[in-house]
Amino acid sequence: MLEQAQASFLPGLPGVEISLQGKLKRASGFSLSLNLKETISGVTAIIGHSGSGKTSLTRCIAGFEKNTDLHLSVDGEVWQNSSIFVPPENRPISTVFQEARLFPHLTVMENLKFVTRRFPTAHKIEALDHSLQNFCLPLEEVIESLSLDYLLSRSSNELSGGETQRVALARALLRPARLWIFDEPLASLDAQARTEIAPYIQMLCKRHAIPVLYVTHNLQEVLQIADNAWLMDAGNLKSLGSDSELTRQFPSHLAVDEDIGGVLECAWKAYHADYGLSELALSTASVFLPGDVLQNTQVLDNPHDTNSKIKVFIPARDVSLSLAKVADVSLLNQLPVKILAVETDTPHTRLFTLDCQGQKMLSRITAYSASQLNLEIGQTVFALIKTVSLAAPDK
Amino acid sequence: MNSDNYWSELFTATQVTLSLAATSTLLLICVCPFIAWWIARSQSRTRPFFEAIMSLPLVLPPTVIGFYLLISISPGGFIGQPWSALTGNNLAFSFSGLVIGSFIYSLPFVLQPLVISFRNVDEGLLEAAASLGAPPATRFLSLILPMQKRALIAAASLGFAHTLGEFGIVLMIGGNLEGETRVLSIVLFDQVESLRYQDAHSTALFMLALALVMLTLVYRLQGRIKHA
Repeated sequence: MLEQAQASFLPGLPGVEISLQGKLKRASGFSLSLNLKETISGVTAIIGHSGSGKTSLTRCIAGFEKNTDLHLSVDGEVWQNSSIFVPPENRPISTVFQEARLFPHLTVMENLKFVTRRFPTAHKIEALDHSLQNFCLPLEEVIESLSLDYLLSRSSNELSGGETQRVALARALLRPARLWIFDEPLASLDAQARTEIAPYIQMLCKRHAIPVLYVTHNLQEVLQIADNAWLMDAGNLKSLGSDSELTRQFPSHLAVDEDIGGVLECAWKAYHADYGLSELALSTASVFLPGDVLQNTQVLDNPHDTNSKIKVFIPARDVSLSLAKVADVSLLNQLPVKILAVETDTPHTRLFTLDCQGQKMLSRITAYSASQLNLEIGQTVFALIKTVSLAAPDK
Repeated sequence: MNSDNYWSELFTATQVTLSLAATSTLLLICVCPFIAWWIARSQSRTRPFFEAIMSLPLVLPPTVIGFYLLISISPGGFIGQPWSALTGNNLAFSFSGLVIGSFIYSLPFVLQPLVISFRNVDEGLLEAAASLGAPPATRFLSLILPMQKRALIAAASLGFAHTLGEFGIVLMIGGNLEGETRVLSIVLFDQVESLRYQDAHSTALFMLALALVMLTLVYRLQGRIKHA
C-alpha cells in the first residue's frame, strides 16, 4: 500500500499517463468540468457520490463521449481534441461495465471468441511480459482462472448474475489493453454474487500489474483492492492516496450510513489451535481474530505464507473507547490509541480518528459518551474492539 | 366452369407474381438494413426529409408513383436511358421495370419495422463491442443484424406480402405481357373487365388462400424464433 498521499504512481509497476481537460454537457443539464493530469499505476479507485461524474470520467477516457469538447491524451498520444477522435475500438482500454453487457444471441464461448477473433496475433504471444504495451491473457488461461469451463456452451442469457459478470470479466481480459476500467462491476449484483465475484477481481488486479481505474461507491471495495483513490466531487478530482487517508476522507464525503471503518495492516504471529484464534502483530501490540487466517485463500496474496501482510477491517461502530484498560471483560482486542481528530458525523454521534501504532482507525460513539468521558485530541485511550475481520470481499 | 386456358394463365401469373415478390424482397432486405440504421441513428438535420421521401409510397396513390416511374424508366427517362445503353433492353413493360417499381412501392414496409427495432437496440451492447475492439461494420454485421433477426424476418415478410398484392404501379408501368409482367392482381382485373366472373371468383379465392398460407407460415416462423 502506498503510504504517501497525493501520488498515484507505484514505482516498479507500468504506469499510464492520462491528461484530460474539458467540459462534458448532457441534454439533461448535467455538466462536468474535467481537469486531470496523472500517471497511474496499480489500482486507482474513483469514488464519490452517485451523480458526481465517476462513470462519466471513465467514459471520456474509454471514448464513449464523442460529441464533447474534450482534450484527452494518454502517454503523450492525443486521443481526442477538436480535430482528432480515436474511436473506442482503437483505444487500448478494456472496460468491465456495471451491467455485464454480454451479447445475448451468443453463447458464452462465442462471447469470448468475439474478442479473440479480432486479436488473433495478440493471443499467440504466450509470454505475458508485464512490460508489454498492450496486455491480454490467452483464452485458455482466462477460462481457467475464472472457472468458466462448465459455462462455455451455455447461452449467455441463461446465466446467474455472478456467472454473467464472470463472463464479462473474462471477455474484457482477452482484449489487449494497457488500462483496465472497472465501472462498478459489483454494484448490480446481489450479496451472494458479490462474494462470488469480488475475489476474482481482487485476484486479477493483484496478479496482473496493469493499471486499473476502479469506479465504486463502496468503501470496502476500495479498501480491499485500491492502491490509491481519486475522489470525484462535483466534477473536481482529488487524489486521496493511501488507505488511512481514505478512511479519514470518507465520512465527510459519503452517506453516514456507509459502513465506514479503518484498515490495519498486520503481520502473522501465531495460530492458537486450542481456541481457534489467530494472533496478528501490529507493531508491539497483538490483534486476535477467529479462525486460521493463513487458510484464507480469498483474501491473502499468498495463503499459507507466514510473511504475508494481512489487512484487517475494523468497523467504526464496533470500536468503543475507554479511559483505562478494562479488566474482566470478554472482549479480545483492547489497543492503546491516541485521539487524532474528532468530527460530528450525525447530531448524536461522534467519529474519532485514532492513531494505533502509527496506523489510523475509526471509532463512532454516541455524543453522550464522548462528553461524559471528556475526550480530547492528543489524549491516549483504549480502543475496545468488538469485531475484527480480514479485509474480506464485501460484508 | 373456368375458361379453357384459365389454369395455364393462372399458373404463369402465379410464377410471375412469386418471382417478382421474391426478387424485390431480396433486394429490399439487402439494402434496407443500412438505410434503416442510418435513419434510426442519424443526428443529421436532413434525416426527417429523407425519412419522408422513403415513406412517400405509404401515402401516395400507387398511380402517382407509377406515373413518375413510367416517365423515368421509359427509353428516354433518367433510369431507362442508361439502362438501355447498358443492357440493350427496354425497362418499361419489362420484368426488371416491375422489380424497380415493387422495390420503391414496398420500401417503407420493409424499412419501418427495421427502423423501429434499430431504435431499440441497446446502446450499451454496442459500446461493449466497441470496447472489445469491434469496428462499426463488425458491430452492425455480427451484433445488430443477428440480434434483430425477428425484425428482419418481419420486414421481409411484410415486403413480400405487400408485393403480392401490388396492383396500381404494375398497371401503370408493367403493361400486361403474359409470362413477363402479368401478375395475379392484373389477371383478376382482366377477368372482371371481360365479365368472366367464374374465373374471377377462382382467382380471387386463390390469392386469398395464398396470402393466408404465407402469413400463417410467417407467424409460425416468428413464434419459433421467439421461443428458440
